[in-house]
Amino acid sequence: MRGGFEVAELLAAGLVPCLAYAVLGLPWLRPLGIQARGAERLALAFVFGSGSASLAILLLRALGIPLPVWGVGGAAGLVLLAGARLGRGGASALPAPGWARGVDLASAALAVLTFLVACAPETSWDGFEYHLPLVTAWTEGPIRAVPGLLDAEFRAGVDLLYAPMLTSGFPDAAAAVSAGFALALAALVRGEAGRRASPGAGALAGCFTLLVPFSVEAAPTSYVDLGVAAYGFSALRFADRWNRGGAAANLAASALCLGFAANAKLHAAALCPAVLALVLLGGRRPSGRALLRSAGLVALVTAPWFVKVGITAGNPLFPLLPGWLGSGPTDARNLELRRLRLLANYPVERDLSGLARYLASITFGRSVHVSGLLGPLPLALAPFAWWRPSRASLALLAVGSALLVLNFLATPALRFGGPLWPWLAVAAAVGGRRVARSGRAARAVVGAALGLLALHHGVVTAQRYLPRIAALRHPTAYERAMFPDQDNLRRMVARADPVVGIPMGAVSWMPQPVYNLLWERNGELYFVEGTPPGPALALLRRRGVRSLVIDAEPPHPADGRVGHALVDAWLARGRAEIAEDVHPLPARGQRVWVLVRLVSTETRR
Amino acid sequence: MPVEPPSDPPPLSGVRLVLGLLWISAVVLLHLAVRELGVNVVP
Repeated sequence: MRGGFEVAELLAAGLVPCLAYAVLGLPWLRPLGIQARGAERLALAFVFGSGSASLAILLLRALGIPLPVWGVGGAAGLVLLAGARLGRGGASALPAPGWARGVDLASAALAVLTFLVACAPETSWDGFEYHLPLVTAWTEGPIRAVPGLLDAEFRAGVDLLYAPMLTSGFPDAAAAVSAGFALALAALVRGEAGRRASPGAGALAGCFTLLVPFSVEAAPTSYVDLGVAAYGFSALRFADRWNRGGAAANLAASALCLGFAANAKLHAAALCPAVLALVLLGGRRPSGRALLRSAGLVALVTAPWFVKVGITAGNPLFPLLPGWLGSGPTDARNLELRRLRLLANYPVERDLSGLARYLASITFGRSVHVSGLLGPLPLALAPFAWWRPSRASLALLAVGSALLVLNFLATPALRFGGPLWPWLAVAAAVGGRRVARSGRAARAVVGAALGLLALHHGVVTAQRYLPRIAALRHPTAYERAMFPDQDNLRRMVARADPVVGIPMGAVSWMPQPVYNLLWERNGELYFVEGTPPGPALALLRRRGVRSLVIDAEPPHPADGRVGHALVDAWLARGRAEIAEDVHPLPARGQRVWVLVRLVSTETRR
Repeated sequence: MPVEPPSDPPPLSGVRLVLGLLWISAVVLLHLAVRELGVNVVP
């Protein structure tokens, strides 16, 4: 149980870096001609600040320079001392009605709640299996190739923002960065919808952005999808500003955001041709020189990651083009299997009916894609935004549709289409305002729909968020309740000789160094029947593995085996032994966790 | 600062308005039915 002071330390560890990232973005605002005001301006400071801070962290951690929370806070203090200020931006916004201020207050309360629950323990699978372990490895040592951790070869621009929290011993606070991106997205949607519809519609769109299941599920995790969404949406937004008569600085701002998005996840590089198409089709074609300058900015911002991955994986585009550029220490077949596995993760036919099913599932389905939902408001209200679209709007629609089809074909999951969904919120705001202006009955129906959905989303949010508030003081009890089998795995690992091989799981919970036996994570070992036992054991020994905690189903391990072909082969050859002195603990279903010790060569002699 | 005036589509009226309100009600109620009543009409 944490005391009050420890909880305060935890919250500070989450808050200080996020505020620091926003402060580090302040110097960008004036050169980029950012006209936004208030919360939207602060959100853009966070977008530019986090993207540039991530590059600075990449450089500093490559040199092995530690990055505690106070260090990042100190850097932000220096920026403030140097005179950086948020400023006021452009002309005043249109006056908001009184009720909109009430909605903004609700959004502010929701923002505080989102930040608090983000500081509760990580219980999302990708978060504790590789996002946090990856940054842990890069805070315990410099940024480098980490054998047995394939994810260390992918872009990790958002992951690196967790470094101050992990360096300072507060891994639970890492997801505060995701909460920061959720808040930034809400503020960006509020500003954009406020301009295109009305300040009241903008306030509602911002509030619902925080309240929809997509944000509620992603904000308290160290998944990086909200960051990609914020960078990608900003890139499209600035390009659209240019199309609508904005200054040339919008092109530079868009290019920077494109670079940050690609640094966070390489698949977001697909936004580069999309943004290029947007400005070429939007009716205000930039000069070749301006396009070259923007391309140069993208290259400049993404270059550090190309260099890093080129050095550690041997292929600067890793994991792309392994046949031409090589796959480094990773078996090329492993990469191909990962690709196939990704496709198999989303079993929907890639045709028109599949597209319809996908859209229905992310709108109000049962979220089979572990991505949350958009909720029904875009479908209910956005169609009414259609009215004599300008060329810029048509270009945006065309590019957005193409990106949606790409999202559907490649990885049909909501969280991989993050840059697109804020546009649906904006369109819903415009459409909703149109309907609400269509008479008293229409206003009543829109009000009732918004009220019902706010109530429903609010109850779902409370069910998910409130237990996490209690978890700030009682993190272990919360983890134990969420994943009892993983807690038992943690207990078994505590009694094993490190490094401990585990089949997969909550790596970041483990009290000792572990080696993930899952081929998708380690990139080098297929822990399955058919793999030659001798070379597999030699590989584990090279990685320092001395014991395994394995899940076994009855009649194992009473029959002297554990049901995993490789381990059973080692047991049969006397190269491993089941630890009789450590009692198995329950895993999932009928399975139990069993400790297996690898017999060292010296012992056998 | 807006670089263009807010989108200002005209209000709906007549059949369009009635159909529009039915559409909004249907989508929201379908969402609640799927999420809370277990109506299995979408994946």
